[in-house]
Amino acid sequence: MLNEELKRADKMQKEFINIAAHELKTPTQAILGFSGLLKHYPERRDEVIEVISRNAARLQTLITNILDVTKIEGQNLKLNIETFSISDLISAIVEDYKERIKSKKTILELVYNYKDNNHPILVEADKERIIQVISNLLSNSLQFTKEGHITIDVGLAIDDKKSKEIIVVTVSDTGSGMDPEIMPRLFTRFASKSFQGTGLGLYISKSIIEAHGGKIWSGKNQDGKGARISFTLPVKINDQVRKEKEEPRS
Amino acid sequence: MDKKERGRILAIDDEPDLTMLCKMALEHYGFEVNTFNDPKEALSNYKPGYYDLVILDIKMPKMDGFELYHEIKKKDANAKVCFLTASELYYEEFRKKEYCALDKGLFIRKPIDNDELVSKVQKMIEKYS
Repeated sequence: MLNEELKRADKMQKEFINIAAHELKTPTQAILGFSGLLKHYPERRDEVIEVISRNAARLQTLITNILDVTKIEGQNLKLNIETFSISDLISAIVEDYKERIKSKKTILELVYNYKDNNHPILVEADKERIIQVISNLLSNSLQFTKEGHITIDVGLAIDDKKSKEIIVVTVSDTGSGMDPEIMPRLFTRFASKSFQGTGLGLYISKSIIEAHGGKIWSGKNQDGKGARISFTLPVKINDQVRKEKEEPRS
Repeated sequence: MDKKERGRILAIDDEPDLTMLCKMALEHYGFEVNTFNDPKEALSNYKPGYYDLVILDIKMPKMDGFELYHEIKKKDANAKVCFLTASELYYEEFRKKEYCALDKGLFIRKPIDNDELVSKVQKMIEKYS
């Protein structure tokens, strides 16, 4: 039995190495080829350099993601837990993305819906990893949404099983949506069909959210168009908030 | 140099950067190159007898390179088709199965530098003509 499991793990690892090698070769081919073309096409220098740097960035993301996957699979994903306001964090990330959208000059609006700004939502989590998840969801939306809007909704809910308060973050967009073929394996490794994606982002995001005791899933927008991904995280109720809840002011 | 002199190439790959690379690299050396990123679109626009060599990526959405190979052959039995592939897995797997009749020389491994690509393409046009 143990032997079978080892064989299966070994097969999966080999498959992962093969697919990873394949994915690494595509940007490598572009960098290698276009560098060689620079001397032949001086009039298209800027265009060629842009392709080279885009592929170098893709290679860098891919390598970082592959290392993350290795940590996840080896159960070595270490979380640096701290208490912070996730509502403030999302607000800061949204501002950063608004700047990026502005520089791209696309007809795109980024909307952040969290009504109660006076009450920050605290979580105990690895801040950098949560930034990674939110950035991944926003980058995906940005990549597939040429016009319309990307919306981040933040709200509080109760986890049915544990009766604990949770934050629900939903990123939705009016973009081209997800390929139905991809949907069943959306959160698995190398699910992407996009030439820009690494196909590892949502797998890593799922692992990060689950390591924090949360959930992540994809849903449908009301009009059936675009993409929609939600995740939850347990909320840390600070002493002041707890006191207010237990002893409501008269 | 007249582009037809060295040959007409059709390159199909779902990665736009790679078709652009193929086009620029081969055109610099005098080939005429048409490209497609969508295999189905490539098939519906295929002109039998026009190309000296068709270069196919293997891992593509909608239709993989081997399926496209058969479809092209149905339209143009004399078409010369080769595969540009990054995946060792696909190369070995497909060759083991029904495609073992394909000459190993028809597989070009990525990554490849431009001079080598040009020289392989030239050799293929000469060898398989």
